[in-house]
Amino acid sequence: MKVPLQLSGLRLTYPGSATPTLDGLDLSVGAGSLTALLGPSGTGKTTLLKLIAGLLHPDAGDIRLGDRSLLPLPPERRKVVLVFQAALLFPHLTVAQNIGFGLRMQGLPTDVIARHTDAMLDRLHLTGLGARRPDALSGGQTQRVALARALILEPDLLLLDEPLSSLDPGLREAMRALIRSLQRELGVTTLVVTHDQAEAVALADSIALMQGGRIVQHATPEVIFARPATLAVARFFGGENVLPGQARGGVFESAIGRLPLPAGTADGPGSLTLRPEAVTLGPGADARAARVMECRFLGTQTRVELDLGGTRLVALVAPHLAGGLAVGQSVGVTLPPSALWFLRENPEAPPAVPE
Amino acid sequence: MLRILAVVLLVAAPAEAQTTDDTLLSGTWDQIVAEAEGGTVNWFMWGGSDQINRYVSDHVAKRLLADYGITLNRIGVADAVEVVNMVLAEKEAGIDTGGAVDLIWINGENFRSMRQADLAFCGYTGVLPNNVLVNWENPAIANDFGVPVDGCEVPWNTVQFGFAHDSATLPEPPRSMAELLVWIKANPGRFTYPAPPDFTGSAFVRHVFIHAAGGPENLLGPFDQSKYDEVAAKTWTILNEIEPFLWREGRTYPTTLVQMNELFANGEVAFTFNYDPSQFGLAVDAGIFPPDTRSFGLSDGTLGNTNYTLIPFNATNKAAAMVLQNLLLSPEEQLEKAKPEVWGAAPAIDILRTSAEVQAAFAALPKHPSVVAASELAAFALPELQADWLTAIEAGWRAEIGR
Amino acid sequence: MKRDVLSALARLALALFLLMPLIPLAIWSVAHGWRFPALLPSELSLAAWSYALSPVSGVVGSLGLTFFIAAVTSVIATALAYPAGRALGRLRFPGRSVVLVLVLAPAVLPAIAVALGLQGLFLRMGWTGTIWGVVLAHLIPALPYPTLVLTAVFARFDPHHEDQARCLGARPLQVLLHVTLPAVLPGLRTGAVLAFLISWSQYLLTLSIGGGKVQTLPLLLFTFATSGRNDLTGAVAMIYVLPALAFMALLLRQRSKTAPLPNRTDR
Repeated sequence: MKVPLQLSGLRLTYPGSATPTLDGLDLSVGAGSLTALLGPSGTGKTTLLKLIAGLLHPDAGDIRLGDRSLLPLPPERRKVVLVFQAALLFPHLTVAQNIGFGLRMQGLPTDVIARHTDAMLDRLHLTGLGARRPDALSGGQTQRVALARALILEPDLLLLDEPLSSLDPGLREAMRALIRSLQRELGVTTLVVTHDQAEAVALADSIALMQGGRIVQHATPEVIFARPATLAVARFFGGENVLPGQARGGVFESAIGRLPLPAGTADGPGSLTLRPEAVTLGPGADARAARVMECRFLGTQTRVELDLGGTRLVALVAPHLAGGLAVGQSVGVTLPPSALWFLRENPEAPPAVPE
Repeated sequence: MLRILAVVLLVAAPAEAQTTDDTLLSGTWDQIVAEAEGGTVNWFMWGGSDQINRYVSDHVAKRLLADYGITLNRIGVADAVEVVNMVLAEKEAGIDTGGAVDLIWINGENFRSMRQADLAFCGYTGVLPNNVLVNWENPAIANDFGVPVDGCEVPWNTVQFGFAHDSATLPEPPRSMAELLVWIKANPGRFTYPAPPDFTGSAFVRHVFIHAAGGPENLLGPFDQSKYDEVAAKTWTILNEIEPFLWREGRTYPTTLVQMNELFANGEVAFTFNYDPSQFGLAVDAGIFPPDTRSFGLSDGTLGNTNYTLIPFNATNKAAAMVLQNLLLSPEEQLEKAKPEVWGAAPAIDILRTSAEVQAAFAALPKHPSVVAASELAAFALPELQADWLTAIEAGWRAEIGR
Repeated sequence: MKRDVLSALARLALALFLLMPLIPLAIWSVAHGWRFPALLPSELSLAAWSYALSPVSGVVGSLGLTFFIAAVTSVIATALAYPAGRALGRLRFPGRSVVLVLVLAPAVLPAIAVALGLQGLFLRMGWTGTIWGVVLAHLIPALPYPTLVLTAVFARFDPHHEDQARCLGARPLQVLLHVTLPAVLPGLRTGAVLAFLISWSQYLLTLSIGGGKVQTLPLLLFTFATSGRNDLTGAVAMIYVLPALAFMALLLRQRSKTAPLPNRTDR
């Protein structure tokens, strides 16, 4: 059953802490969707999961799953399963007993539990490992058992806390694919916590970026990259190009000159952002002259730092396009108008949202 | 709440105890026996001998239950001083009635402690019918290590100091203190004695002290410092002279009688001694001492004393304890425990006051070959010194010999 | 692997260490006339055993009493130590080490000091001479051991396991039964055995609080040991030591079978 999750106005301040960990947090997760909860370490992402799971209680706000509020319910009655970062398999139980744990707590007959457990073992590529002890498993197997133990309960909401962080890089891709496919197949509404934006982009339908105890932007990865809600969001996703200036009559006036703005942009001071990968180099109709400051090969891309009339600008281009560039050389730079994104925020001013 | 309860107990208890004690002191024996019926006596006594335990738990307990309907609960302790401390703690806690201890097997220093702290129930002994069998004229009965008994305890056994030797290795032992001192020097390493304040070792030192004084005559009565100084000097000279000839050249002494018994059992020393020679027989029967162990008393005098049973002031069941004391004093029980196979303890009653049959039975008692006859010891009897002498001698020994 | 070998060796050494003194005691208990320099007793006798097992000696009744007191002390001490060890093991608070030292204090205090301190109080409360008074007194030296063991166990137990179980649908009681208790079971068992043995071996406290009326085996044993009766001491000592060893072996036997504790993850 696909159920949406609705968080509204959640507040939580840990005892003895001066600043709230959650400060009026709102978030909607669509039924059956996979949302990544992204943010720097220590922003309260795990706290939020514990709140939803019922292990913590908010000072204010509401958590609704479908048409019911979860707040009055103890964790075991929420139909929400939280899978912790450390897989937390019960060391005194076998793999099969771990997976069947939740069903056993419900008092289901042994043969029913065994049937479901076997199915889960197969589904998570754990066939034949049922009799093992948790300490005899590899990292990837451990994580899959933890996942199986959660999914066997067919929860309304699955909460995954950094499910890939304890895995070797090589295993992450496979695990990510497995989570994706299982989630699609089962249609369980899922919230995945991660601090890795690449992982969030690769895994999730949508990304909720959390900063300062709130969700600062919740959108698809494409939107978040191209049209960040704040400068902080832009910076978090690697947005390095920020030009301070003034919007006046549909045009942005800055140190490098006038740039076109989308129609309807109101006048006033602000910043213009532009993804480094949107910057194109070479001659062109709208090209401006810049000087190459630094040029670094990054594997799939080359990072070029440019001086454009005294303003620093970063471009990420295909290596073959940057092949002939030398430091100090002059090069044409084009800033496509469609990639320009205006924010009513000044980079020198203190950020609207504290990191 | 608890404080109120405690106050109530403190106020109520003495009054109640007083009336009971009055009945016990002034009532008839039949009244006491009637009151005692159905009760339990918690008798605390040294429990280190299976034979004595067996006699009390099997024989006495059965008779007490059958004849008087009283349950006897023998509680073995390692040392009677534990029981004295227990009663003392109860008194300090204000428990003047309903105490844990009904009867104690006691004598000497522990009796003195109980008298000094006013822990004994007193003045009742005349009520016991069998009291007439006790010769209270005998100072060795009327005084417990010089402390007047004053109706605070009832005699149970008399003992006299005896020496044991293995007749297989030493057929002709020295039989007087003078001979013994010569023998010690002639047989280096074959003699020792437990360091005072061990009860038995202290008694040995008193024998030397009396020997040095030339007899007990001048030592009886209250402590006399000048007399003590004179005799003590001679005593320490004697003991220092024999010291190099003792076991391990006198560099160390056994600290308990048990240790010395072990040295004797293993043949390391030629003698052990005991204030109760019946213990030699028990040790032979238990396989501890060699079978050819024989015992004797020093012909120039051997100390004797009496041990008693005592009812604490706060005993729960004084009437039942009195009935038990009376039973223990009866000719039948005095005879029973005198049997060598039972215990072999000498009677505390005057045999001449018993019936002709009992007298004949005592005369006909088989003698344990290892236990010197009470009659033989009685011929050399020395009265015990008063407690102040004991204390002074023990302190002197520690200062002069046991440094 | 290496740890297994070491612990097996340690257990063997412990067993030998415990059993060595029993050998002369066992011989003494059937010896009649075993005097220096004989290597073995000249005669064998079952007299000491027959006395020890007879109702007169009270040894058998005392064995039951000693076991009962030790078992009750162990259960209560472990039950009290559970929340205490949990709090001490989990929480990191300033002064925690001071609290740990205080917890340990009753175990290192001289028994005589504890006994004297308690006796007056217990007398006034009317608890002396009762089995429950003795149990209460035994709890004082017994409690620190399960508390310290469980403190160490809970320090290594990740409480997130309990949260995880709740999320998987376990009610609090189910969490306790199916997750927490199995995880700390080795500690509970060790703590319970230690508390049992502490009670089993109490002499002074039993004497002063029991007032002689609560006659546990150490009291009987001490009486014989101090009166030079090696045969009786041997027999009673065997009766005293063997059940304790058996009990310990029984409870610790399963230790090797239990899984290692989960490691704590700090989040």
